[in-house]
Amino acid sequence: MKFLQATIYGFGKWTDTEVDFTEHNAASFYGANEAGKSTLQQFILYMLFGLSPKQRKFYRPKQRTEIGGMLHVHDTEAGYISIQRKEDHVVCFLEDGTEQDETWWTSFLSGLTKEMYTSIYAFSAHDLTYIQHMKQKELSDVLFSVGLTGSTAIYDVEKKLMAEKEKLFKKRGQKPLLNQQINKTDQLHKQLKEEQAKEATYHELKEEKTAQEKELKALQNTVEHLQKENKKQENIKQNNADIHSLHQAKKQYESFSEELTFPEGGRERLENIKQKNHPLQAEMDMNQQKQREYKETIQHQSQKLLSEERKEEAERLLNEKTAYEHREYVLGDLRKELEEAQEKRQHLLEDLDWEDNEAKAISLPFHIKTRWEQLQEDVKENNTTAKELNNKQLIQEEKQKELSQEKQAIEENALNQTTIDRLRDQLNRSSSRDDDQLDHSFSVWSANREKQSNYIWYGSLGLAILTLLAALVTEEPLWYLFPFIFFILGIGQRFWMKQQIRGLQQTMEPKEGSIVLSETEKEEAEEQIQQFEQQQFKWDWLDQQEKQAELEKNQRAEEQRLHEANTVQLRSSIQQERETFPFLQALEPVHWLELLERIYSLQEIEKQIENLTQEIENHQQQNNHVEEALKAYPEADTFTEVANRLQEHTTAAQSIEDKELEIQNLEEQMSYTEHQMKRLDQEKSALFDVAQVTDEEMFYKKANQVDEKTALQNKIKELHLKLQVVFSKELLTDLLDERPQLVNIDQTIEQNNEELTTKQELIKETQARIAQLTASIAQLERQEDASLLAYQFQMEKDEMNQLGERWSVMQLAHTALEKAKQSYQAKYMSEVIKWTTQFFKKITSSQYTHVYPPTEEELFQVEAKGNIRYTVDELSQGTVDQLYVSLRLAIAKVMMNTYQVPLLIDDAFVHFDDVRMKDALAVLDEITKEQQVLLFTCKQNVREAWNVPEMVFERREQVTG
Amino acid sequence: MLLFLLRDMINKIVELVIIMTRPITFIHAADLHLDSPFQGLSKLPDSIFKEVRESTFHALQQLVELAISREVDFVLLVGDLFDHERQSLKAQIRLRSAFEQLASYDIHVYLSYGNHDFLQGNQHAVSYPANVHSFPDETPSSFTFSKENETVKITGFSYETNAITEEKALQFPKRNREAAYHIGMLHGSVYGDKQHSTYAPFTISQLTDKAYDYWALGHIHQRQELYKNPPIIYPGNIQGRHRNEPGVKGCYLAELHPEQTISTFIPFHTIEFQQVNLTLTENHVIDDVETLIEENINQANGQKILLSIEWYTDDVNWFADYSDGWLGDLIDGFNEQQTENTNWVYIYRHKMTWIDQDQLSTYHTPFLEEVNQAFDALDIEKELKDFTRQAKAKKYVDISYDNMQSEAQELLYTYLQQVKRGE
Repeated sequence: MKFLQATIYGFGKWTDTEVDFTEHNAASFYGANEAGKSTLQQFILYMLFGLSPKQRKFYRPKQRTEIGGMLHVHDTEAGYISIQRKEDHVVCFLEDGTEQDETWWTSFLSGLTKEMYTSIYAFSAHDLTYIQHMKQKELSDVLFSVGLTGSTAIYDVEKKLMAEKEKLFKKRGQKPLLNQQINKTDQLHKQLKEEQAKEATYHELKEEKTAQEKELKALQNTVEHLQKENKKQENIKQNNADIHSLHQAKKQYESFSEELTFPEGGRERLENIKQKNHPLQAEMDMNQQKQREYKETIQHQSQKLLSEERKEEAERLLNEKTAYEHREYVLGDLRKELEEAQEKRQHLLEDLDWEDNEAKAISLPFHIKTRWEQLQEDVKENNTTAKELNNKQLIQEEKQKELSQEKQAIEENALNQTTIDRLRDQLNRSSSRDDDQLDHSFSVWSANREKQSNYIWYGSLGLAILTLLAALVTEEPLWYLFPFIFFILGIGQRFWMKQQIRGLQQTMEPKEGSIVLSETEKEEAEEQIQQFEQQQFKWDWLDQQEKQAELEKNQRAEEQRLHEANTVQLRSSIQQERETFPFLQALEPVHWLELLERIYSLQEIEKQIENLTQEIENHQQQNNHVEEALKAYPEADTFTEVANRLQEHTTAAQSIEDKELEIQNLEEQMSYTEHQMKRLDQEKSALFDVAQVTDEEMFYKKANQVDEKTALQNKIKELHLKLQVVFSKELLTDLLDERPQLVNIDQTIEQNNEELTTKQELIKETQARIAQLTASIAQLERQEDASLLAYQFQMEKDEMNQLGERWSVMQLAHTALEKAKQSYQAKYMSEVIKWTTQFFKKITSSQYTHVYPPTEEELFQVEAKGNIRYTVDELSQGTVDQLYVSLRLAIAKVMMNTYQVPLLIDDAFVHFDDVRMKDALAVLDEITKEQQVLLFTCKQNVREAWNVPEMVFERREQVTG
Repeated sequence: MLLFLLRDMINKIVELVIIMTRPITFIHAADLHLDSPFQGLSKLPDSIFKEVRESTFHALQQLVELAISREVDFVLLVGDLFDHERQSLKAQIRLRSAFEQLASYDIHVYLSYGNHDFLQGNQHAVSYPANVHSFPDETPSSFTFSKENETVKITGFSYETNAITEEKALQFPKRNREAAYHIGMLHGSVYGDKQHSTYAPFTISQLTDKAYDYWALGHIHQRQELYKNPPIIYPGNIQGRHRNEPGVKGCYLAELHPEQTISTFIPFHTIEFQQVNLTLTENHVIDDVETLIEENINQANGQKILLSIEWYTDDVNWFADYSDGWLGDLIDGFNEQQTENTNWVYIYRHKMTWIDQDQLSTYHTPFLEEVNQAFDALDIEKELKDFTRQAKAKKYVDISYDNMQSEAQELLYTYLQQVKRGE
């Protein structure tokens, strides 16, 4: 890149100024101090990189409100570019006419910063003075770091990193944070391990507990066993006597001969046989006795027996006895009956006053009773009729008599007709009718008549309506006739009734010309008339009654005649009967029937008597036969005696029969008993055979032997049983073999007791240990120390690692920085040194031929002619400056490959003498071949010495604030 | 009155029907890692430290209570109930008492041992109650659970040593046709999972081939439902223990039905690890910091949170403040306030990254390039050996080199930047 022209709108001293950097690669700017050389340099930097507000304020011209300007440059790739900056606003005008902003410009610069530019491509006399004050080692550093990123920055960062790193961690330190944290972590870890180790014992504790529990169990088992053993020994001790006697018994038992033949339960069986035989013998004896007795009885009884004929005779007689006795009884009854009948007959005869047997003779037709009954009836009726007729006649006569008397009385009392007529006339003329009596009867009658008529009227009217309805229904013309007829009839009868009443009324109408009478007179008259009329009426009625009575009298006379005829006929009938039956003569027909009844009774009784007599005779005859037979029976005259005889016989016969039967039974029994006895005898012999003896004595002797053996056996058994309760079978066998001694037993017990005590002690210990273990386990289970420590440890460890990471990052950053520095130096070292040597040689007119870079121990070294080496601190100020310029130029030369930008040199040759200055300028000439160099100087000699286009700046009056 | 009676009766009948038709239910949990210390926490205040210490047991208790309240038939615990490398008797004792509690409700437990609680490494060997059935060895074997007329076969295996590398799934028997249901318990990693050590590896098809009704997995602490029907599930652990185990933790509650198994994740109230990335710009002022934190906390009701904050800023001032520890003081103040809360949020870790990408990417200065090359060439392990091989420290060193280079780079640039600005 090459600067072509700068157009300054306003910057510091510069306003509206154009500075031409010419097209050449080199240009010098001469001006005295305060001429604005530095300001121009700052302007260029401002154009390229901008300024901070503070710096902008510094360079703001007095007469202008804003700073700004334009820099025209040429780049080999991008061509012509004009960078315009106003305050901090950038516009780039490109060759092709386009405009670009700051971003484009920044990327165009590709990382070149103001700092880099000033440190690589710009240097001034100021830098030299700065170097003068540097310490030797630092100088060396700076020399190498110049223009990299700012040597001091790297150095500061290095120092900072180191300090912080060391604050955190030192390899062998104790105080730094990380070291402390490591120790803390380690400490906690140890604690944790301890706690965990404790917890780890949990498992051991548990295992031990299990083992101890197992051991405890074993111990307890042993104790139990020992206790059992002791108990066993005690038992043996207690039962020792029994054990010995059992042994003894067994031994004794064995001494008996093996074969002691004897029937099973022989003694008992023999006893049994004997016992059974005994009653049998007794029974036999008794039965024989009985037999004899029975035979005597039979002999005695046989005397009482009857012959067969006699027995039959007696039986026959006794058979008759019932019939006989019955007949006797019947006879009694019959005789009594006969007596009664005879007595009754006697009564009847006496009643009738008849002779004996008269009745028998009378024969009566069967219808006689009916005939007499009719006759009796007729007589009765006749009598009644006669009586009635008589009565009627008497009543009739009486009545007639009364009537005529009454009639006569009325006639005597009555007013005569004329008086009445007169009175009536008077009355009729004065008033309406006053014949009340009549009027009343009339009104009653007329009312009745009217009522009757009304009924008929309504009836006919009803019928008329009915028939009309019927006609209407049937529509038969003939039917219409009926309502009409009924209606007419109704009207007719009504009319007729009215006529009738009117007729009657007319008859009762008061006569004309009546006299007016006083009320009293009138009443009197009326009364008189009424009386008269009453009596008149009564008389009429009586008269009529009299006539009636007469009529009845005649009728009765007729009846009387008829009655008399009947009576005559009746009497003849009675006479006729009396003739037929003379015994009726004295008797009224009324009693005939009664008589007839008695005759019938009498006849009946007669007949009864006859029958009874006959019957009695029959019975008597039969009984007589029986009595004869009884008398004929020997030794007995009565039924009782015969019966006794027979009874005796029967009893005897029965007795004999019984006894014979019993004798037979006895014989059977005896034979059975005999058989049994025989069998028992056989059994006994069998027993003897088995026992191999011949008699009872020997048998019993043998039996005793057997008993003794059995007793032993029982004893053995009993002892066995007793001991088996206490001892097992095997143990018992052993014990019988050994037959332990009491002394030994006691000894064993004592030994066991000792062992027991030991074991129990052990149990106690074990139990205590288990309790301890359980407690420990429980405590461990409760404890959370390990857990807590684990957390704490983790936290501290994390903290340690965090710190470690922080340290690590710093460590890495530091290392990387160191390494980068080294490699950077290494990379550019030879180049820079090569060019430095070349330039230094040139500037010093080959006074110095070599430059050596500083090492760890050594500073910069230069080699003068004659191979003499000098360190920088041994050189004069001028030579150091020349070395520095050479170095800067060399760096610029080397870095040219990275950024091709103009080199700005501001009076760097102040301390150079003319020769060396010219040499230096010659070096610049060389550089300008590749790169634009702008040299700012206030020295006339420099100006003159360098033959390049130049610009001269006048001293500027105006100075920026 | 009659209505009430009728309603009562219907309710009772319904209840009875529900009881009679109640499907077999169980809980599936794994990787309890009881009493295993949390990692990455340091300098916790006492109260929170106490809660953290109890947290795995608290989660266990929630599991037990869930089992009881849901009246499940059994509980499946698929390995890593506790850690042998962090032996804790407390873990086993508490586990035992949890089992005893389940026993009192007649709830069975089927457990297998995993790579962390493998059979041979168990020092304590606390004996469990009779309701606990543990798989005795590495050969898959089966237990039978019966309820009314239904039986469930549960097949699984236990780690005898701390690693199994064979494909265990292949050794599982085919589905038992006599049992109504068949469940597999497998503690291992699915092929393709690179984050976890590969133990008893399996492919999903190896499991589905067995035609089981449910695959209860364990080992991976992040909850994963690998397959829907049948469910093949990693329930995750029941309590996160470091920042790589973030999020809600819990267990699965499953119901066995003839046609399918219904499984539901039941979250526990645990201490949850959360991480938030927060960006501070030059527009933020110091008062905004707390608000920014609070706004970005995702705290459910009753939840306690261990929070890790990754700060990002492009503002060098914020970064400088952070480096000075100023922001750290602010966070300490925040934490101090939180310790008074029941449902606290505790910031256990925070870190700030200064994003000045432009500078880092564009300034390819020769020296910085050299620095980058130097970083790339670093033998980290060797460079750190002063610390990592230190006699005492080496036992406890547990640092990750993964991001260390970039962190160091960042630090160096930051320092260089800072120093330069300070000039």
